[in-house]
Amino acid sequence: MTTHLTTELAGPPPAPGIFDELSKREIRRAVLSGIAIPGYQVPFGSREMPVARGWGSGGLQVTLSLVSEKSRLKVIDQGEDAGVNAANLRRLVVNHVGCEEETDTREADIIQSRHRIPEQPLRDGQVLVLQVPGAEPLAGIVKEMDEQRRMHAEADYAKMWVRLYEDVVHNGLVTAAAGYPVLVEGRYIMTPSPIPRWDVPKLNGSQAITILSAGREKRIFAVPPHTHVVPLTFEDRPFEVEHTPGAACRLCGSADTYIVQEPARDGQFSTWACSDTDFCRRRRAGDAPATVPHVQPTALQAAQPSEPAPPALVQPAAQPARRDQEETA
Amino acid sequence: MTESPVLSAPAAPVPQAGARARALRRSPQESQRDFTVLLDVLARPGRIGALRTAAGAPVAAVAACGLADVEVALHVLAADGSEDAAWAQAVYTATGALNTTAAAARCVVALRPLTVEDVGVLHRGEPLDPETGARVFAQVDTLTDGALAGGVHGADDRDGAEGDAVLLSLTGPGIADENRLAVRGLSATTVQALSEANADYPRGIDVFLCARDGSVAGLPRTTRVRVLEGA
Repeated sequence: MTTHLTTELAGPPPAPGIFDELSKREIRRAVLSGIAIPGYQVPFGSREMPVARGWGSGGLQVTLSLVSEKSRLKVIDQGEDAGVNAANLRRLVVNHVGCEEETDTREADIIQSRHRIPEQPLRDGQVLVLQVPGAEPLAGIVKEMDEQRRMHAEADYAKMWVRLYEDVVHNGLVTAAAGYPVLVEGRYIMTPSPIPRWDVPKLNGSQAITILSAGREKRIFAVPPHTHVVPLTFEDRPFEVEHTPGAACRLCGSADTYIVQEPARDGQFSTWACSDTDFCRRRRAGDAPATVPHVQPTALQAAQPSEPAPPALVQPAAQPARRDQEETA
Repeated sequence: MTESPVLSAPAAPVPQAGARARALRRSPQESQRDFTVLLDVLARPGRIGALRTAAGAPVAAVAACGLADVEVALHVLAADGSEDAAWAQAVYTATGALNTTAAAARCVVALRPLTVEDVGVLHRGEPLDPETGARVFAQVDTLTDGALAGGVHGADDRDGAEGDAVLLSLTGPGIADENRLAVRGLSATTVQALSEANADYPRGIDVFLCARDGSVAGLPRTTRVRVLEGA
């Protein structure tokens, strides 16, 4: 009797699910528009999610629109499957949908990522969902959103080029570290989300579909497979990726993956480890490719054919300030 | 005036209309599966995907019903007085979408063959909001991989096929080199009109070609289409 009364007073139990069908359809339509206009930011009605905006709510909405019970879902935070953000988003989706958890990049159907693209080259049939904290590449150049839209509409990117030029004049190089601006299919300038420069060439001619979603800014944009994604640079300033001479992962010994510095007990940063934990684990087990095709010098030359110089030596993106000082000294 | 409008409403359901509504209504699982197929074929123009549809239902209508809803301005191109007209009504009913003109629609379902005139009136979006360009689900007869031996002629050999097919050469984003697609039920002049409509990128029209057997292919506005053979 008490239970019955409680139900009457409180109303029916809340409907199961965290994302309704109409919302999914709106996301799906925005994703299809994004695929049809690569690099263009499609506005969409970003929903309230069980995570705060800025914590992957955009990526979560796209992932929830994509997954089925049969999907294998991988979620990474800076290349790490067990990161707090990644583990919780994965748990949320898996429990909600009933799909399978996956950490092996090769086996995953959907990979939601915060700020990394896996080292393992993605394949046809996979969808990479990138969480985007700042969707607008022109945000630091013009403040007014109407003006940003006009610049995109007219492909009027002169101010972006001026900014890059000033960067080169002041600092000797383009200092953009994470989220290096790229030109998609010769038309739209896009931020690749704050992935390190290391990952930018992986977007060019990828086999997989890439969907970028900013829940806070309510924009979805996408890069289809086999699409030209070229980092903005000048003919005499080749695009550079992070590289530190002599540094290698202390676990797997790789020097051809994106490695990050680890703090030691004394607070000093003296050792390095792979950012992509899945790839590192498989390298140690002998289950990963011996070479990573995306970061071979030939691939970099292909992205910047006019200047076949080798990548310059710069410090990792984790410490952009220090890199700038050294480069300009 | 005293008669209640509820009592005066017609109560007798038309069985055929119910069957149509059932055939078009997509469950959450079906619309999720449809979406992954549509995403795959739009991201890789020339690839042929497969939608699971109820027998007899126009595939173009089913595909649209998995994606459109009450928020989408929709128009169905159907021949007057035919069975298509009844299906058109069922599409509006199943989606709850706003019934609008072809020129204003964000989503267009072409149950009859798409014509040059149709393409001419469809909305292409504006440079500031190119995503408002029409998304067209066009019913065609058959779709065949044009790279297979025979091309158009191979498609002609299929059982029960009528009329000429067009062989399309596709290049652009989503395509490694060149893809070929043989389409029956779409005229070469319509293909030409679509190319002209999409010449002013990023304005343009995105098309899903939906064949009777449930196969579907995507032609986003970025795809450069060349007619190699066919009328």
